[in-house]
Parts: sequence; structure tokens; C-alpha cells
Amino acid sequence: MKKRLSTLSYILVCALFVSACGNSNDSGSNPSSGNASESKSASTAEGGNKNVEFKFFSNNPDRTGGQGLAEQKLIDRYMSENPNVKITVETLSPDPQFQDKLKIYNTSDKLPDVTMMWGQKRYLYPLVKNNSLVTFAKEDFAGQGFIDAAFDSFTMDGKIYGIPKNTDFLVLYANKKLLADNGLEPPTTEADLFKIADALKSKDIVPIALDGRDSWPLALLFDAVVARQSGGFELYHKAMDRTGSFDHPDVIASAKKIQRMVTEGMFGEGFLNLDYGGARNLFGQGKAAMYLMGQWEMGISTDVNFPEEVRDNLIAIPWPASDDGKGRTTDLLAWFGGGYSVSAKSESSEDAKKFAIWMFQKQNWAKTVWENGITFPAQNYDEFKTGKETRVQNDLTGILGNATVFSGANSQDLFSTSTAKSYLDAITEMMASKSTPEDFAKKIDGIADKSFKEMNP
Amino acid sequence: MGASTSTRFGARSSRVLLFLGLAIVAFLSIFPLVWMVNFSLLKSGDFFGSNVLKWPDPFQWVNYKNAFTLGHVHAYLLNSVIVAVVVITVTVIVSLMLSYVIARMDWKWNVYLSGLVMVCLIVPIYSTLLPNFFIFNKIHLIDNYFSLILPNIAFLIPLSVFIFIGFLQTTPRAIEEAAVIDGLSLIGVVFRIIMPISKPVIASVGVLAFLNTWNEFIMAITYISSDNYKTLPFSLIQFTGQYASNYGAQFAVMTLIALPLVVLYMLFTDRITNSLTAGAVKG
Repeated sequence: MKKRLSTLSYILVCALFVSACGNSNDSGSNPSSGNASESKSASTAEGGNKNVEFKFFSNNPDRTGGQGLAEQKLIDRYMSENPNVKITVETLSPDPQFQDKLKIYNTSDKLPDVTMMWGQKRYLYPLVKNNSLVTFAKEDFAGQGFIDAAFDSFTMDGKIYGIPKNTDFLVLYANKKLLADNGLEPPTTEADLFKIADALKSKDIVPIALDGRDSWPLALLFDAVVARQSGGFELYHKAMDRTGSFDHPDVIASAKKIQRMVTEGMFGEGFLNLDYGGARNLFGQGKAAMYLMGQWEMGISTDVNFPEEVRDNLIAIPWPASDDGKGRTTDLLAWFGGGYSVSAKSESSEDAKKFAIWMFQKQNWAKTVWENGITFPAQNYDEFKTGKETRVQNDLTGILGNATVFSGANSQDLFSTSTAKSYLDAITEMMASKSTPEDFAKKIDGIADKSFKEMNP
Repeated sequence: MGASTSTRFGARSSRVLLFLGLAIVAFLSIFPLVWMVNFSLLKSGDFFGSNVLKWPDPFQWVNYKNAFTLGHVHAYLLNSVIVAVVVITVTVIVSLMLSYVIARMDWKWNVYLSGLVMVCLIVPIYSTLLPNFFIFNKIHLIDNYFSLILPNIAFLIPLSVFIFIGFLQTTPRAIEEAAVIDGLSLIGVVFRIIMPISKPVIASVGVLAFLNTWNEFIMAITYISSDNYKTLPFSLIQFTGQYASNYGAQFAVMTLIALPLVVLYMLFTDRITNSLTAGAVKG
């Protein structure tokens, strides 16, 4: 018995010793030995022909459609134009998991060379603080038609840490035929919305399909209604930077209006349990007259999963104007959602940066996403119009082109990581009539205050 | 006479009730499977309609094709199998040996050893993700079969030891004593005496390990980044975009993932239930 025990402890000691050796060897030779061969080749051959390999981290696992397709097309083209470059793609979804892994990568200094990134302080700050990101200069993108404000949310202390990829904005998709069949016109004022809800009440048709399970679309709705009520986006911007307040008559009036929408059945029964795909399908199957979502859903009009009758009758309209004319449809809730950043800590960050800049030459990203009807780039895309755009694409172009005021970030993106959820929860609660408009206004003002203190210690 | 008919009637009606009750339970258990298979044959646009089930028109076999081509089901399946087989084998052997040490040997650290193993039962997976990532990163085990195999085994050992000990405490020592008198070594006792008699427990521990490993996802997304080592659950998220998802293909993948589990349950259902109570009653 004793002998066996001592044998066991001997083995244990050996195992410890071996693993300790492994460690010291590792730290001695190269901190990132995965790239060892690269760094070697990088030092031997300057310029053109060195072999480079880097990693692209995306939140779009589906590489056959949507933005995943656009990314993959560009990556493939870059590799065929530069045979010495090999780009491997890692994908992870949904977004919370993606963000968690990004955190792990960041804390362990293993950030993938090019990574999808959200342009808000709460996402960027931890990476910037860790010196994980390469900075860009505006000149890197000169002549590529970027909308000037697009870089704002990727800029911290005057340095650009990411490249914006989309112009996102909130619209109403409407099924023209379904409305006409019930003697209705697409709404132009908020009063029209209530009229439509009233007319469809008995018809088993949902007036507006809304993804209530995910709370973020509700926050977009809230922003839109507040903007109409107060005649712009100043209110929530000021509430966020604490020069103003959410505890404001216009916020209370907006909350009242939203609660009225809910009680009058504007979003149908049980919309708080309806998820993204559910709301989308409700509209796509012709069971809802309208659908509140961002411009990125423009592909719905070409989605063969839905009946032709629905697809052929789709239009996109801005959120209706306020009844008193104070909030106009040209005040557009538009922001620059997402982009890409380059890791500063990898061996091939120079080449990765080169690729990222190449990716956003206008004939690459902007052209690809526009021609494939994927999304609105954060760049001017007029020259890529083919005349073959869908009705919805043209409607959306009109909405964007006619807009006189852009909101910049939507309100939920301005909150700190720890307060964002409470803000969204407060909106959900308000919509479920679990809080009064007055309490709601006070509550989100408190959350905004906490967020401001956290972001500006 | 009258009394006997009424008891017979009572017996029969309680039988009918029992039958009805069981039928409802059976329906509730089987329905999700039917629902899953049904959805795997629909177009993505058909989902969330007013009907719970919908007749596929036409059958979208393309969902299964997508599952294999775009979802890499075959490649990820192989990875899942490799990981599962290694995890099961190592878990069974190590737990058997460990529980023998704890249940049969008398030495002073025994109490602490069993205490240590039991304490491991309450460690939540989430608290280990980041530290493990750092360690694996240091010793180059990140993005590797071992980065899945090792933590999976670690989480399975405590529960398996718990089950094995329960069983060992009910088996008489007489056979082992006889074997030792006949000159069998310690290793021999464990593998030639204990292992054969604990076959039912080994089966249940194996099934348990299989289920855990097969469904494991949170460790996989943390430690694995390249396609070479991804396991089956990754096939599912292969069909999610940032917003929309290909639901049809996702359900096809789910059906394919669930299939081995259903078969396994059918084959081993007795073993699974028996083993969980193995050692509970002396006999």
C-alpha cells in the first residue's frame, strides 16, 4: 500500500514538473508561438511576397447570405488578389456570446487580427484601455465617400479605432395591399396609426408586427415616439449627457402614447413574447399590416420564404409625423451600427490593417452590400445604383435622402454596459403597463444618471 | 355480488384513468419530437404562423442538405464523437479507480480525498471558463481536442465517483478478499473483479458522460475557434445571421443531433434508471 502511494506521489511530482517546464519553455520562446512561423517569414522577406496569415472574427456565421456573404465575398477576393495572404474566419453568434468571447480574447491578449466591433464607448473602451486596437487616420479612407459623422462613435480621444460599416435607421415596412383591402392608406401621422389599429381590430390582422421579446426594438420605438413628441433627438441626447433629463413632460407624454398604442392593440396580443423571427414572419406571411424594424430588413421583399403577394406589395415608410406637426418624418432615427477593428497586438496587424482599409474602398464594401441588397453602407453608394433596385430599396433610399436631421446613436447604445439592461427592462415594463408614465420617466432618468457616472468617473 | 362488481368497476375505471394519464404524459413527451421533425421540413417563412403543426408543402429536404453542406454536420459530428468517446472512456476508468480508493482503502487522507471530490460537484462551469482559458492558452491547449476533453472529464468525475461509491458500498468484500488470497494484485482486483460486477453502473456513467459531452456548448464556444475542432452544437449557430435565421435548417440540425440521443435512450433506458438508484437499496 505505502509503496503504491509513494509511486502515485512520484507520478504527481513528475507531472507537475513537466507542466512547469512546458510553461517556462513557452514564455521563453515566443509569447504567441502560433504566429512563430509568420514572424520568421516576415523578418526574412520584406514587402510583396511574404506569407501572411490572419484571423477574421465575425458575428455572422451564415456565410451564404446577409452581411456574412458580403464579408466572405471580399475576403475571398482579397485572397485571390493577394495569394500570399491567408485569412481564416472565425464566427460566433448570437451577439452576447460574441461579446463574451471578445472579452476573453481581450483579457488574454489574443484578439483576432480583424474583428467585428460595435462603435460605442462601452464596447470600445475596454479594448482601447488594453491598447488592443490599431488606430486609423481619416486620410486612410479619403475619397471613399464615408458619411462624416459615421466615424464619431468609433472615435475616442480624437483617435479612430474602427471602421463603420452600416447606416442603420428605423422605418415602418407596410403591406400596401393589405391596407388597401381594408380601405386604409399608409399612415402619415401618428393619428393615422391609431385609425389603422382601430380598423384592423376585428379583422385578426396585427396592425404593426413588433419584436417585443428582444427589448431593443422597443427602445427604438420609444426613441421614435419621443422624437416626434419633442420635435427632435435633443431630448435623449441631453438626458444622456446630463445637460437635460428624462424626467420631462415630453417623455411622460410619449410613454402615455406608447401605452395607449399597446392597449389599443397596435402590436397585437402578446407581442412581448414575439421574438425577432416571429415578428418578421408574421409580417412576411401577410398576417400583419406593418412591421417596425431597421433598414437591414430590406431583403424581406426578395425572401422566397414568403408569398409573392406579400413581397410585391411591400413599401417602406418613415415613422409617421406627430399630429401637431412638431415632429417631422425627416427627423430620422439613424445610427452607424457596427464596423470592424484591427488588433494591435498580433504579428500581422500591419497586413490586417491594410486589408481592413482595402475592404472599405468604396468599390468593395459599399458596392457589394448595395448590389446584393444587403444593407446601407456608411458610405455614399449613389454610383453603384443599377436601376434594378427593389421598390423597398428605393423607398429606403428616399427616406435616407430626404432626412434633414439624423439622430446619431440611438438611446440604448449610449448607456454603460451595466445600466443598458435596466434601461431596456424599464421600457419593457412600461409597455407591459407595469409602471406609470411618470414613474417610468423618473426611473430611466435615474438609470441615465448612474450610467453617466459610470462612464465619466 | 353487488360489491364485487362495484370493486371490479372501480378497478377498471382507475385503470382507464391511469391509461389516460399515461397517454397524456406520453403525448407530451413525444410531441416536441414530432414538432421538431415537422419544423425541420418547413420553409423558414412558415414558422410562427397560427398553426402549431403545418403540413410541409412541399417537403423541404433542402434543409437537411443545408445542414450537411453549410452546417458541416458530418465534420462536427466526427469531432463530437471523438470527444465523447475519449471523455467516456477516461471518465469511467478514472472514476472507477478513484472510487475504489475512496470506498475500499483505509488510509488517513481518505476523508479529505472524498471531501475534495464532493466539493467539486458544486463548482459552476461558468466560473472556470476564464481561468481555464488562460491556462490552456499558456500550455497551448486552446483550440484543441484536449481543451474540450479535459474540462468535460473534470466536470464528470465527481458525479461519476459519487455513483460508483454508492454502488461499491453495497457490494460485499468477500470476492475481493478471496481474489487477494488467490494472489491477485490491486490493479487486478479493480479491473478483473470490480469492473465486471459494476457493469450496470459503468453503463449509466457512460450514458451520463455521453449526454453531457454531446450537449456541451458553453465550453466549446470559449475554447474552440477553428472549424477543425468544432462540435455539433456549432452546426446550429451556423444558420444564424445577425438578425434573421434559417430556422428550417436549424431544426434539421436539431433533429440530427437529437437522433443519437433518442436511440441511446431507447437502448439504455433500463440501465439509466437503474443505475441512478444503484446502491440506494441494499440487496
